[in-house]
Amino acid sequence: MEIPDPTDCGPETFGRMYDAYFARVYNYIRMRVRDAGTADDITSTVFERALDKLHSYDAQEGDFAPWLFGIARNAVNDHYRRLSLWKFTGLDLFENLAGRDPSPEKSAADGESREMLLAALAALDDRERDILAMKFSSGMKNREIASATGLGESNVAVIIFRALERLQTLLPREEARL
Amino acid sequence: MNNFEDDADKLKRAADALANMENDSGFKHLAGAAKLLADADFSADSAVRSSLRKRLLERAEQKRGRAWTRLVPALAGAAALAAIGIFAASSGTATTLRDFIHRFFVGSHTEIVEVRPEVAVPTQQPAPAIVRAWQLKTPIGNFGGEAQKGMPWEIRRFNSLASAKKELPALRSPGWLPESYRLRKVMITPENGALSIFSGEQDDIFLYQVRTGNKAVSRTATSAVAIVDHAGKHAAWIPDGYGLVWEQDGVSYTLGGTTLNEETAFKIADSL
Repeated sequence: MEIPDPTDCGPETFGRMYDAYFARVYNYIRMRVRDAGTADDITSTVFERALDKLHSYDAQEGDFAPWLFGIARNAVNDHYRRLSLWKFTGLDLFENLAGRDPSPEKSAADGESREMLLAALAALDDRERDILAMKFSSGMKNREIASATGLGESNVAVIIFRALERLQTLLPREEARL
Repeated sequence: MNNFEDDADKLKRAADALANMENDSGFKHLAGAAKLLADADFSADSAVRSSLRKRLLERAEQKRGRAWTRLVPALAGAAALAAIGIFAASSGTATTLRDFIHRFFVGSHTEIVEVRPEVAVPTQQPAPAIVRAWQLKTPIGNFGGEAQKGMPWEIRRFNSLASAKKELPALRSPGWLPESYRLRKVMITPENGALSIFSGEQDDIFLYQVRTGNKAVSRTATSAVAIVDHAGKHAAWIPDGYGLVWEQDGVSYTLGGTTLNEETAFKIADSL
């Protein structure tokens, strides 16, 4: 991915960035929040913020992916903070008005497998989910994840190792087999 | 083209992750879970990928052609508008925060808070002590509030205007809607605000109305707010579907929809 010129926030640059990163950002968010509609909401927020801030991105200060995933990470954290703020609100108030069910044409087998993965990820704690999602969705290196999370690089590696071990035990055997 | 790039990207990440695993005997037994993670692509579930792209590219185009400073004379020209830029914050951050938050009043009790997130400073504000809160989550933003102790706090739902009007006689509904749009639902909040949802061929249109009384109504916008004078209304137009906000006869209105444009919004507003 060619890094967008930060002085050019025009539609061409932004469109290229969007196409290259949409799936990665969405997958990162989906692994953390599980629900497809919520993932859409947060993904929208991330790219809106990215568009607003793109001019302030400085390639001298770091690669583009950690910059973008920093926005994504903050957006997910904001989401959880809001949920905590509104904890007295009845669940029925959070009904999905936009009707964002997954596309019906996706294959059932594929869907089941992905649902199992999401369920297994949901059983991890949020820090493990965050770091695994960053590792496998964003393509960020352990060093970059360490920088984003404030953890040591070796600590990140240990968390990934342990989270994968837990994931392996949570997944049905045929799903986890290579 | 996009699919190709996504697939190539996915395969590369999977290959990289697996190569790292294979090279490290300590990780070898975890390669199954790692492969599953690296292969996982949920992005086909997204219902907004195309519409969000279109919306953001339009916004990028607008941003390119519109310097932020052009908004200032436009606001100054709205002579009848009580446009007040104020900000109250803790003394340590006030100077910076003043740069990115502007508040406009489009009526005596209806306020728009404009936030320029590109210069925003993250703050750690403690959560307010809320006894009971309610929230209606919509694609044009969330409407929320607090119910007083001892007051009913449930959201009341109605499928017709007549039944909603029995509960809230002052409820207003547009006399004109774009073709194919019909009222789908009215939700009345504990504060006797009403969220009407209209469905049609394109995305839903939302109309929120609440009597202001002595209480201010605040809406937050994360993009440049345009103040518009139209048929005696001082209204704020917030781009990207977040809609039109105005106050009339002691009622604060928000009308929006992800595919609603300014012209249609005014037409609906005029027909109330």
